[in-house]
Amino acid sequence: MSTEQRWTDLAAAYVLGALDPEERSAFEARLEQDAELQAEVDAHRELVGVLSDAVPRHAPPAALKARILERARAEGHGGGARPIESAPSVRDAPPPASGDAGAAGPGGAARWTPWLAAAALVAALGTGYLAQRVDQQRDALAERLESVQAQLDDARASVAERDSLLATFLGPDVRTVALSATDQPPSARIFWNTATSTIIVAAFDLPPAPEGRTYQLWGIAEGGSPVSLGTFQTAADGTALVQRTVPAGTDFQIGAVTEEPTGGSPQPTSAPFLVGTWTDA
Amino acid sequence: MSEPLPDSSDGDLYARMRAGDERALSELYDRHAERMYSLARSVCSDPADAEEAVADAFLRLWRAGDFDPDRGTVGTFLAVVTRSRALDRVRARKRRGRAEEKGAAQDPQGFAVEISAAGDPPERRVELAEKRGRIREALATLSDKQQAVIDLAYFGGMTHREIAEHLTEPLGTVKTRLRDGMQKLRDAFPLTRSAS
Repeated sequence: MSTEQRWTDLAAAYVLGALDPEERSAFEARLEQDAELQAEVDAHRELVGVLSDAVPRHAPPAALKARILERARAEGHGGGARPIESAPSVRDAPPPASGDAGAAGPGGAARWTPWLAAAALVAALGTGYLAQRVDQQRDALAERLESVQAQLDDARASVAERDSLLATFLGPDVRTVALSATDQPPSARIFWNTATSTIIVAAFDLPPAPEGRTYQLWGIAEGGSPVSLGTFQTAADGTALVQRTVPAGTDFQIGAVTEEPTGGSPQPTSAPFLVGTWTDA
Repeated sequence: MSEPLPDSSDGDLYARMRAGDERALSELYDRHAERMYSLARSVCSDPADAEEAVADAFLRLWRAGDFDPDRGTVGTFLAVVTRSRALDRVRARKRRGRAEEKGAAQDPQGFAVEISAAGDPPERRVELAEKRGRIREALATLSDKQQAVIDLAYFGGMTHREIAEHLTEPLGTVKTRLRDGMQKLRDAFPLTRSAS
């Protein structure tokens, strides 16, 4: 596949916002210098617009229009619209100015007037252009700020999640069980913080359960029937790291994993393929 | 005043709006608001968020900061901004909200083409019905798996990676499905941009 092909292949995903941040930056860098890619992006934008006709219809609330018009009025007609708006009024300026110049005589001011008018036009266009640039930069900065805030929030959430996992691992009353199959992979390890009644399951080399099926974790007390500790699914790479709460006051000697229909079963419907005995960590 | 507003093209209305004519904004609103609000509602579960997304889009057009008539139509600009603002609001809500709310946009209701709508202007009813019929046919050419990936990206605002995790499918498969599905849809429409 050629390099050009690779970039155009990403155009739809770029327009939909489906690229990762690094991919997006690289794509945008390329976009600035590639007119064909830009046309491809424009075409996909148009498709996104066309598809907006393919959603269930809802009538907007009657008050929305008045609110938008009111806000538009309050903002004033302007912002990015200024360049076009101000330019014609300056372009209209020269005739009366040259008339005045004529009255002032052939020399002096008369020779200056066209230059002044031209300078005024350049300044006005420049101001308009700047206003537009500032607007664009403000919008871009606001979006960037929002995205940085989002990343920060995500990072905080992820740290909080890890803290919670770590607290479960590091508690004083943690028991653990290594679950293994008779032959080598897959394997799993369960950490059980009895003080907080929380368990963490870490599974390895376990392909995702097929559609309509799930993995279910069981705790078995001596002489008792298996008690469900919840279901889980593994990622495409065969790993899972999930946290579950167990009923307080329970005690188990054995941990096991079976494959069950989605949603789990009240009691195992198949033989466990991973089994292990709990020990204190 | 020259020609009556309802006969003007969107491009003419945009030019008038830039010249400060509020009635042009009002007319553009009448033409596009229902489609934009419907789009926003299919992304946001909260109607207030949907309204704000629509307002943002029209006000951005009013400010005209980054709309370029040479690069697309007013309708495309409004749809792209409305969808993106609606997704921003869903994301902001998720960040503020609890984990269980995170499921909200992950199972989007997806595309559902209603051939006619109460808000369609009578004179455009036939044209709109025909257009929506074409969209329905185009969507029907997608495989279920392609459509699922496009739904998650379009309405859920998910990245390739997030979709792959959500569907527990390999990343490469998801990328291919999104690309091929969108390409099929593009092939089904005689888009003005792709002709250039």
